[in-house]
Amino acid sequence: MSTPKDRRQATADRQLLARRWRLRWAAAVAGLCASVALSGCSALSGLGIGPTPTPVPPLYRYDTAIATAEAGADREAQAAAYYARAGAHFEQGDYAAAIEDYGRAIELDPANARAHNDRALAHQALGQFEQALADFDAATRIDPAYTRAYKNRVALLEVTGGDPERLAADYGRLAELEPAAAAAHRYRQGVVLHGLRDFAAARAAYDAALAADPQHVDALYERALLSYAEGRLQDAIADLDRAIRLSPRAANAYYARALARSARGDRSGALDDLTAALALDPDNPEALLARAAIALDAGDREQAAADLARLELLAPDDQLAAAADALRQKLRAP
Amino acid sequence: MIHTLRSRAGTRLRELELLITASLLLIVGLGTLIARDGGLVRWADLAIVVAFTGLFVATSFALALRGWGEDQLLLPIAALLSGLGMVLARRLEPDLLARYGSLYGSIALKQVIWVLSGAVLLALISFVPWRMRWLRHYRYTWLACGLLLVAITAVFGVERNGARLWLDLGLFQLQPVEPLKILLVVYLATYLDDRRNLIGSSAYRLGGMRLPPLPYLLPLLIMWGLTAGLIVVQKDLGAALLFFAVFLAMLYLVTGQASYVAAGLLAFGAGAWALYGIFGHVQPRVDAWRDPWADPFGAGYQMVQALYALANGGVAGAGLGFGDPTSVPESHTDFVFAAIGEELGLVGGVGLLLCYALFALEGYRIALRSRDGFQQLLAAGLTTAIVAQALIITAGTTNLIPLTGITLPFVSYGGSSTLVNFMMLGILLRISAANKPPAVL
Amino acid sequence: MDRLRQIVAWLGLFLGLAILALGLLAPDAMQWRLHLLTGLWLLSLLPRAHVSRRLPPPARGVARLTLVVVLALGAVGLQLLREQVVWADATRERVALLRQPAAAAPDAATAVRPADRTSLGSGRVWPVEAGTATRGAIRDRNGVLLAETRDGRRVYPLADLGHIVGFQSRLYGNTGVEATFDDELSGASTLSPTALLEARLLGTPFDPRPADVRLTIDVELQKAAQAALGEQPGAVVLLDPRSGEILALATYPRFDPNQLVLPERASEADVAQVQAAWQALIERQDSPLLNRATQGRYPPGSVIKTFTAAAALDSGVLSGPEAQVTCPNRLETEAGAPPVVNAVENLARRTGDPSDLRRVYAWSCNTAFAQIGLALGPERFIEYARRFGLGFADAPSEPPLRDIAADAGTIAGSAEFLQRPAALADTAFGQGQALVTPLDMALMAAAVANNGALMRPYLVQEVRAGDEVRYQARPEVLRQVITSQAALQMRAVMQTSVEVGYAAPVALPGVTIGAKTGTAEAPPGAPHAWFVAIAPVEQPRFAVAVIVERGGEGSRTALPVARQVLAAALGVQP
Repeated sequence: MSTPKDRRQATADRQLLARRWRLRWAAAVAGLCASVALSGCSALSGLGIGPTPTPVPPLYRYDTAIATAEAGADREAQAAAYYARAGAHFEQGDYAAAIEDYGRAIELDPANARAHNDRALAHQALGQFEQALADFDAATRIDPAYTRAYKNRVALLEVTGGDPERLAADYGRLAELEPAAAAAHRYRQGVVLHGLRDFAAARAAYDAALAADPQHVDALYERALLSYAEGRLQDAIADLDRAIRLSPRAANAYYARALARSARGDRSGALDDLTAALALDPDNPEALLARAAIALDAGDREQAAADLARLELLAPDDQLAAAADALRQKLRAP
Repeated sequence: MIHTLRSRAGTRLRELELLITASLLLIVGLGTLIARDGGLVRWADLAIVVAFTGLFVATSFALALRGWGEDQLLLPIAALLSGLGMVLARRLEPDLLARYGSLYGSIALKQVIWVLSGAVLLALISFVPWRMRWLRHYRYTWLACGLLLVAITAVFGVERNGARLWLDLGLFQLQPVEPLKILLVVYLATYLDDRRNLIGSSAYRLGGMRLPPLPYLLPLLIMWGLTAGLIVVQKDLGAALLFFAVFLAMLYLVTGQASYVAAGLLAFGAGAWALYGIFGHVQPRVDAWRDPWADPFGAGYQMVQALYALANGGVAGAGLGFGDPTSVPESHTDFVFAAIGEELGLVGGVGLLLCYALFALEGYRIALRSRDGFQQLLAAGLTTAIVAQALIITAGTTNLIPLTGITLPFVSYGGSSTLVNFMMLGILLRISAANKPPAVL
Repeated sequence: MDRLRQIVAWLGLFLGLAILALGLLAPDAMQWRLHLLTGLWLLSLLPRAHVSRRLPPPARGVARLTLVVVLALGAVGLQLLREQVVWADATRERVALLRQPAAAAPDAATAVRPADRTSLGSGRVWPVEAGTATRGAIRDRNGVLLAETRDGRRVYPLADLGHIVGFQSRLYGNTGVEATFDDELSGASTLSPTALLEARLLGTPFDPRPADVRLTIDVELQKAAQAALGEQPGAVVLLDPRSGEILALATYPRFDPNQLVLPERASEADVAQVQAAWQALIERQDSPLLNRATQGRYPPGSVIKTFTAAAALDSGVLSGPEAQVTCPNRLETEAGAPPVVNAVENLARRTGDPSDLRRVYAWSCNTAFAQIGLALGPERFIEYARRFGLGFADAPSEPPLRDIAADAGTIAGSAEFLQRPAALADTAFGQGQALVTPLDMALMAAAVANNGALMRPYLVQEVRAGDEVRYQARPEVLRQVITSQAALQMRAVMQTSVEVGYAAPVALPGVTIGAKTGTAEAPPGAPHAWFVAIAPVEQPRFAVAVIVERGGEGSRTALPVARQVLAAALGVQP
């Protein structure tokens, strides 16, 4: 049984409810209309048919960033914006555009070593090696401790095979900058100097590499070859012994030690080493030739003949083939 | 009759307001994209907005007219999330086309179709009279159907990214794992509810832990094991993780023993360790999780790109359409959250998480006020399924846990996922409709 | 208790917040995750306490589940905070560094453990270019230059030694010592395989070291021999029986090796010139390119009697030089075969009858030696022939001279031939099928001279490259042909031949010489004139063999040549 009070209350509630409802519906409709109005009017060309939206160019945000920066007067921000777009160009493989943008970034901020480095890499990608080198030089001039630039430059020089002195100097500098990897850098420096026949400097580099990492087997091996070339057979064999102890499966170390032992007159030791080398690398023509020659010297004609036969099957290059022929002649003549 | 209808019509006003907000988000988002593209509004855009709003509002209105329950939060959240999903699909489409080719030709339109279909499905589930009993009584049938579908997919399915997860049905592709989600939750709910007392009682003690009586836990574990095994064989680790989470949650609800959860986690740990050794594709995921910078162009590429996108977002985001989310692979499915993080910023990401938190709160509230145990478990299970899925994928994309390949519910592009999530929402609404009123103390 | 829990929960809240804040600032991701777990767990203490206190048991499970979910979402939110705000700049830096286009730097990317290395070092193979060096020179035993490369052209100062020294022609190849010692002269022998391998491994230079060759020839004696031979086709071989050194090796006709050599940069005219010279040499009937001394094969004539006599003495067929031998005018050897006759009718007048070995040797009695040959028998004859280095045409023996091309003489066509008595008899006195080289005959005399020990003949004394002696000839005893007693006796026999006999005119003042003449029938045409000699007989230092082709009687044409040569060798005025 509802009292009049209740009924009044109920009516008031209903009215309140109705008003709220109306307000809310009105708001909803208004919102919808606003959204329609916001969208603007366009050609009524049917549902779903209409010009496709213009595809946003992938560098859109970089362009806007540049536009924003240029609106301001902050040269550094502009340089950063150009640098960012250059990076995007580089990623997409558009190296010419990347070089342009890097150039602008450098104009705005000449002390940016990274931009020089990146532009050099873009030049390198296009095959313009002199410009690449020039940019790497600029990068290292601006920041003599810019490790990455040195690394990129040595990569470039290793690939083009040019300017070994600079390459060696760069490796030296990298060894200073990255003491953790000094051994590797010094070793490569030694290899470059060795190739230049600057034996004293190469030896110093190998020694430095081994000082940094006494178990750097490559440096041991190359230093041994250096000693051998200089005639210091004892040192060469000592280094090769150490290298072989560290890397017992390195065929070429056994081979080098065999030659060194043979030069010292230790034929049986040389033959043992060559057997080991051939066990690890059975089709090595140089080892076969060496064993044939040393076996023949030692008087073991069957071994020599067998090795020469196997060598012939491998079809070695001309020089080795000629030497093998000479050896065969010697074998036939008593 | 009219009177009741009229009085009922105003009962879901809060939901209506929230739906308007969701539509506004859709409108503003679409407006931003249109403005970026040159300001050309197409009829299709208008139609989408109208259809979206209309469908959800109509559903809400119809729910109100049916006089259903008190839950007014779930539908708007779902509408918001799916609206956001549509906006993102449209935003990503041209970039994906430009970057990866015509494979991504019409994802925007497809997502719209999926969302609208989902809304229709929601309406169907809500209004077509069906009994909860049907879920209970035919649980083995349902589960067997699901497993059969998954098995068929494992054999005849389309291979994508090394896993056969999709069944090509001509017009569209179905991912059977998704409906299996619902079926498994239903099965678990019915089973656990039947054996609630038995499982709740602790018959065995193993060390310091209590274990439920084995004869009753065993069939459960076997059924779960079969499910999980099938998934693992299909290499869908995300689904496996999800199912496991749901299982643990429901078990905890039934037994109330945290030790069971601990045991389950231990078992999971052991399984994961075994998986790590056996399955080759698990290891790169774990390595990429631990340190994506170790292999930034190989295994860790996706994560590095995602982290960069997030970093680019900052607090306020780069702006819708001003970021570069497609640099992250799978930015429309697995990594939508990274796209949201980049373009809508920390605020947008946290907002999204808040949406899911609200969804969870509301879902568990429905569970608390369920009419019977089965419905409670069902509601809790479905909520956990949705929210756990959201958790797994958002934590994966932000590198909190290793990445698994599942979708962000409602937001990610994907037909099966959207439809099934709307189905789950429908069931939840159904349950909430049957809710007991809060006890008046 | 409750209060304590409350305090602990609040403490946990603040502690959790602090840990979370610290974790946000931690650069390591795993550390942050640990902080996150602990922080959230601590944060959950308060709500859990609240749940335990406030909610009825049925709702607790759901509430706790809700709490877990909300905290998990909070964790994701915190992760977002960390990635998007706290560490955003660092991430941007890192990606910028990654995106910074860099070529693959040759870092120590290959972190292979030393124990697993299969190849060490830079793998550099030095490019090797075999250097070229001037060809070595050839000199005589006293250092007189015989061959040299001047300005890229091979020059032979003495144009007469072409058959010894040979020539080095790019068109026609190498001959003589130039050929046999080509490796040493060019230095190719120093390019050993190990030297090549070292050069490839170490970059050491790979240059040949040519060596100079010193011959045993004495140019003065050679000149004397050539002067003595004059322009008579034939050959002279002078060697030292004690060591086997060849002191002179003359042949006529000769050729000039300078004509066959091309300079380093040969013009077409040069090539045409050489080709013309070659053609001219080839077309000549008298074969100037043939080295008659080592490769000319002639029937030995009577000089082979030295061999027969030595064999008889050694085998005991004849007991000594005084052993009785008859010298009939004719000797029937075999039915059906023509009888053996002497060159001179009634030779018994000279030799006496019966005679002895000395006189039949001195007067070259064919029938006597036919008997000796028959007495030796084919087996022994063949055996001694083999010892002296004479084989058969179908089973030739190996030429003992290795330094230049040489042929070995043969005693007969085949061993079967000598089974017939007539053939054996004929061969024993100098006819038959025997074909010998002048070197063979000189060696035969040298064996007798050297107490029966046949030394290997050699032309090259030493091969030297700077300080390094690459080859040193050592006198080598080939075999003991006859006992020294027999040799002594044979020498006496040969001495008699000079005292009384056809070889008498060879005598030189102050020297004892042992010799044998020979006149080898070689129809059609005049017979070949042979002469072999050893001097001085007591301790012979020289053995000489001379042949003058178609020279007629040995004593008339070959003897004066040998006399001149011996005079030059002994340093005696003829």
